[in-house]
Amino acid sequence: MPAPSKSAIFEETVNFPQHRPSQDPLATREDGQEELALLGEILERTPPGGVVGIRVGEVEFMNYSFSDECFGNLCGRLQTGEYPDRFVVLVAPEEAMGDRLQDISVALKNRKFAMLWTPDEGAAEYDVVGELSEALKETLKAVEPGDTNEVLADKLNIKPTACINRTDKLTKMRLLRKKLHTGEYGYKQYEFAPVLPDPR
Amino acid sequence: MNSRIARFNGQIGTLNLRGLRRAIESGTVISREGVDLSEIDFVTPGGMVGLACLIEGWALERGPVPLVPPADEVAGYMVRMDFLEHLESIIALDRSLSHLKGRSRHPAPLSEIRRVHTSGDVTVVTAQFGKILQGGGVGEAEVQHCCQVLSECLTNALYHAESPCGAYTAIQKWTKRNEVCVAVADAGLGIPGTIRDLAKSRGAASADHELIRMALEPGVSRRSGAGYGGGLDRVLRSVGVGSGRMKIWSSRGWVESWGVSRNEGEGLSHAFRGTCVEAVFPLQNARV
Repeated sequence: MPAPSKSAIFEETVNFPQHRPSQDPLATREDGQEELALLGEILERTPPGGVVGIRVGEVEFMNYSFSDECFGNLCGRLQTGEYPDRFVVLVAPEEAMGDRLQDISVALKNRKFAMLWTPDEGAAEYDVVGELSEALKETLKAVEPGDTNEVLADKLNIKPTACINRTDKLTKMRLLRKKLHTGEYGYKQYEFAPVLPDPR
Repeated sequence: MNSRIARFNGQIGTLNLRGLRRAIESGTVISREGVDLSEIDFVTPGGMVGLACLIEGWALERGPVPLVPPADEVAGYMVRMDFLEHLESIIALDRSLSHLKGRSRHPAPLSEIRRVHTSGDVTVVTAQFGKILQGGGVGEAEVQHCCQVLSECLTNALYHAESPCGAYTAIQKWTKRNEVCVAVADAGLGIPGTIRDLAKSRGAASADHELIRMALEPGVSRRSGAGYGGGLDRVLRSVGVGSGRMKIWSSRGWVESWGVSRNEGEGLSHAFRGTCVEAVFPLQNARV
């Protein structure tokens, strides 16, 4: 199967920041609010199911206050149901995420949030930044398109109720796709899929 | 004015943040009655921005503050740092220093004292300080640490302090010591003043140094809501990761932090109106 093209992965890829040059320090809550508003506009116009890639790799300096205001609040909005069925992925080289962009992760951890991150726009690999329990990471890793809670519980060797709790949390955090599927005999159940295509 | 000399930390006449605190506590060298710097032989950014905020506060109450400048060598540095220019309308010098203006630049990478009033100023000053440090051969990781301390402390000063003079800030790289110093001060409510009610509601201890220590914990802020109260925690981490040391003086409390160690205490007689932070980083990764 050919590797998915960029357009197949991201509905839209945006350079970040949008309101100012990337070499400007991103150092205040006001600046974070401005950038958050612009990201919100993009998510508003993204069709359901769409993934927005945010290219943060060019940012030279970002502090905690900015990160919290922009990405902490973005995750908060997604978790409370704003921009339903839209997804966000950070795009930046690994060394940048571990170094000059580490305050994104610190800010998310303080709020117990997590975001998807990929080092390249082809999304050949991806991970999460922020705070996600080992159980949720394990679940996220195990999901294949079309998996139901029953299938996942079997894969993970956990009780179905535990699996439902996990998939609920992951879909609420917008780290997992969820779709209501109606079966042949009219019964309904949720099917899950990774936000990004399987790189394997 | 009494010109008796305070002995600071075994050194005579070093006006860093600790020296400033001890000078205030002595009540003789630096007070609202006047500032005598005649025996000061070394000034750090923390000493200078802290003193600037003290003078701002006293001038609001009583008008211009009498000031005896140090000897020309040190006074020249303070002129170069624009200390006297910022304060000229609220100090009364006992001698003219006009002969020091226009002298050759100080050779070390430094920034003149800046006053910060808006979030736009925070961005501009952080960018300028970052460029000065990069131009001075400071490694990228250390520039990041310095800018973290600078921008978070300035943001706190603007968001929480309600300081009538905004915030003062300065940086300097000490080439011989291979260290860089970042300092931020304001003349506002002070850290204890901003979180005393929160501490009370939690039944926590309420001595000023205990409140400063509490403010260094993640999630402690006068503002309610997720995400607030992470800035000072982040500053502390930057100082620790960068093997730096940091001093905070606010109201009657002070906390000094280096690595994982901490020392703290409370001055009994004199308070710092507002908050002053001085962080010093060794330059392990300085570019050659």
